[in-house]
Amino acid sequence: MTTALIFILVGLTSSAAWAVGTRGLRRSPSGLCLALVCLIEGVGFAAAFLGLNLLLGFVIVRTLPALTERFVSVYVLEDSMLVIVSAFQGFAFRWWLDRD
Amino acid sequence: VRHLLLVARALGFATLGLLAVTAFTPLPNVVARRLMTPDSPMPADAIVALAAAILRDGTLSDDSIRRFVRATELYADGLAPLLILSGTTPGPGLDEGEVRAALARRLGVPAAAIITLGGTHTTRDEAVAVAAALRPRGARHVLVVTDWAHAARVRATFEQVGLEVRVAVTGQPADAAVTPDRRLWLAWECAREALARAYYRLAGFA
Repeated sequence: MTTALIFILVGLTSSAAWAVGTRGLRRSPSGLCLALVCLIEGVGFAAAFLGLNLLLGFVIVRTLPALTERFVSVYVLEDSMLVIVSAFQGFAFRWWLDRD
Repeated sequence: VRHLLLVARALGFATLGLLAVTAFTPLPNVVARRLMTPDSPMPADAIVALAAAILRDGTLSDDSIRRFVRATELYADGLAPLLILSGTTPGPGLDEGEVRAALARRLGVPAAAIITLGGTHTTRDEAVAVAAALRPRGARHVLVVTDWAHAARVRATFEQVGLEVRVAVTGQPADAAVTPDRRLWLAWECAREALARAYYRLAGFA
């Protein structure tokens, strides 16, 4: 049920966006294809940033007790904010490549 | 830049594909079922409720409560004469083991049957502390209570310090996760535990 509802909602709002984009804003369908490729590349960069953040975080968390005698659990890396921030990093990096 | 974008595109496709398969198919459930250690409560010298977390307001985390309740149930069933309550101590006045011990006493477990272990940070720390607490009593058979994903690593880690281990698990998420977000969380738990097991093997802890 949840899965079906997600697909229905995304389908409806995407169809509305398609109608607004092509008719109201006079955007071309090929432009949407380019935007989707850009999205996929952004996701790729976001995944890379997430991997790097987790790796670096693990090294820091394991090294910290030796330097400060303060224990930090590896589980702090499970905070979902890390995924969100990594996504921001990935998409910002992707857009930066277009701007310069 | 072109090469970088091609790599990002390939990684993006792979990520989205993995996300779709994980969220919208039962693959995480199948993987979790394979990773699960069977629940095997048996009589032992001591029941060990492994630590999870205590929140800043002094309440036990959901995992901590689940492990504590299962361990107390097993004690009430007469599976062991001792109840070892492990706990984290994240700050002044916050002691998961002591909060659990107070709760156990209120539920009728005699104070003499309770051992609390504080200040343990990792599964390895807990295994060492439990072995040290049981050694003077000549006891080495333990029934460890933990969550399903953690159980295999727990067994190997406790065996590594010379204990005979049985594991009682909490939760059966392999069958319960049926919505996309629960499946994603299940996949993350499987991946995290697989990495933890690899690390423990590499470090010689398990």
